[in-house]
Amino acid sequence: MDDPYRIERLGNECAVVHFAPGELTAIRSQAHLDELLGLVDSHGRIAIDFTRTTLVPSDWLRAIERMRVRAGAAGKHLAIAGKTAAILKTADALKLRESLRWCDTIEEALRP
Amino acid sequence: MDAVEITRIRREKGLSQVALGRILGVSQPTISGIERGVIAPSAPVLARLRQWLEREATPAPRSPGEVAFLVPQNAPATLPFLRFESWGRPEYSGDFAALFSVGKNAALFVVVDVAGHGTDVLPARTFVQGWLQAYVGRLRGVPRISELAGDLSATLRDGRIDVSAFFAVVATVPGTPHTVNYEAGSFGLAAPLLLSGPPFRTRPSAEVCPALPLEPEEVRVTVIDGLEAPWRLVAATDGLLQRIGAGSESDGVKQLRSRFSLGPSPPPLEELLSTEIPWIDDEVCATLEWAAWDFEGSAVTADEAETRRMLGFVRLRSRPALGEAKAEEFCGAVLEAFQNAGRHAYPKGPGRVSLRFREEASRFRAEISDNGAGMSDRRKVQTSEGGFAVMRTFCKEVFADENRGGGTVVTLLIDKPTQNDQKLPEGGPHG
Repeated sequence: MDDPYRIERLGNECAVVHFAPGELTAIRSQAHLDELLGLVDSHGRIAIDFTRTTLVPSDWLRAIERMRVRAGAAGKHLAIAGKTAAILKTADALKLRESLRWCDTIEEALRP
Repeated sequence: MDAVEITRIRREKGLSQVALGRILGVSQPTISGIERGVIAPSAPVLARLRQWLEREATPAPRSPGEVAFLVPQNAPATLPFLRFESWGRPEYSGDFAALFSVGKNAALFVVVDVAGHGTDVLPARTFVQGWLQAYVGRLRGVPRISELAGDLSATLRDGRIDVSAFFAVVATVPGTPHTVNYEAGSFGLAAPLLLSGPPFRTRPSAEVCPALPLEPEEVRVTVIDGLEAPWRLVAATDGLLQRIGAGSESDGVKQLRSRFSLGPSPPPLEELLSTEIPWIDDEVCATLEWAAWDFEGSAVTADEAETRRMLGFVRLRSRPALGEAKAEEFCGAVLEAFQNAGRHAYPKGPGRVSLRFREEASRFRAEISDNGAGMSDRRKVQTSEGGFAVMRTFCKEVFADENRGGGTVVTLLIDKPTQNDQKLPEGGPHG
């Protein structure tokens, strides 16, 4: 089975989590959550790349919200690149649209 | 349990994998997997499978000298778009239910109560059954209920047989998906329940006429053109209605309504209709419902490729009517239901999730089911934040029900845009 995402580390400061194209069908596991939260601990700026992802289930968006909360508490930066209508509507349903930062590109998402 | 044995007995009984699946409350792929030895059935399925095997593999014991009655059975209708179930007792009685195929696209559903009880009435029942069989055999098209009632009346009058009966004909409407024309009449029986939805309601199922035989001018028939799936017809004879209604037929109808409300998986008749109240009259209950789907498949929660294939089918079929954005949202709801099953039904590891999908006349319907842990509180689940909130955002209606084989069924409905919707200016009705 393919990994649902690939982590690209841009030096010690920045990291990009590239999610696979199309719909995100993988079930989010505890190992995924641990890895993603660990990334927040080790990097100052993180971008979630949804630029080629069309559908994101609620469990993954909630995991990203947990990353944002951890990043915010440590004065770090996390944003999402990609604004597919269905993903934004999922975030709306979960009341996460406002708390997460949404950008058009990865570059913009990494910018503080 | 031997997979080869299951296959052998199933074939001997002339059952398809789909038919056995219905008996056991699981999908065809699950039966296929069990027979190929690649799926280990869950404990409840295993128990039902054992029961079925015992029942089918063991010849009924017969005491020396016992004479077995041989009541002619109607050839079971082989219409893949209808599910017919009947239950009754005693085995030899004046009450029976049957479904006859009328060509490839129509069926005649009958529930008959021949006056009298038990074996005394067997000759009359056998006569009526044989008459119906011959009537259907002579047909050159879809029968009219008024003609059927008239012809049968003439015969019964000659034979001095009294019969209460319900007849319904359902015929598919060419070019309209999952839609039938319905015509029915009830002759001395309480009008059956015709449950449909959404919006969920009980429609008038039949004009109630006097019992047969009757005069031609006494025949009244109910016709519904364009009855869209889902619908479920629930018919019962007076003996059963009076028993479950504690002496009142109308209370018996209320009991039936509460038990057979239009969920995705009706309970087995024999379970729900067996009560502590002793039976004193012949009883029959039968259900008929639309059972066709455009897609039926299943995937293990960890099998992403198969999940994507199923989502791809939903997207492909719904996009022309819904448009790109709405079709994507419908897929989002289906994906959310899959993920929900993965998280809550199978928290300890992968499990199988099934998808049934069809395009109905005015909407699309998807049912996502699992055989996992089940719901502790349906209302709480349906109104919960999280996954169900997402499904509610994407779909017009979302329902969660208990699955007949254990686990949960989530039903997702999304309406097709109407002509008025399509005429709205950009930005909606006020835009």
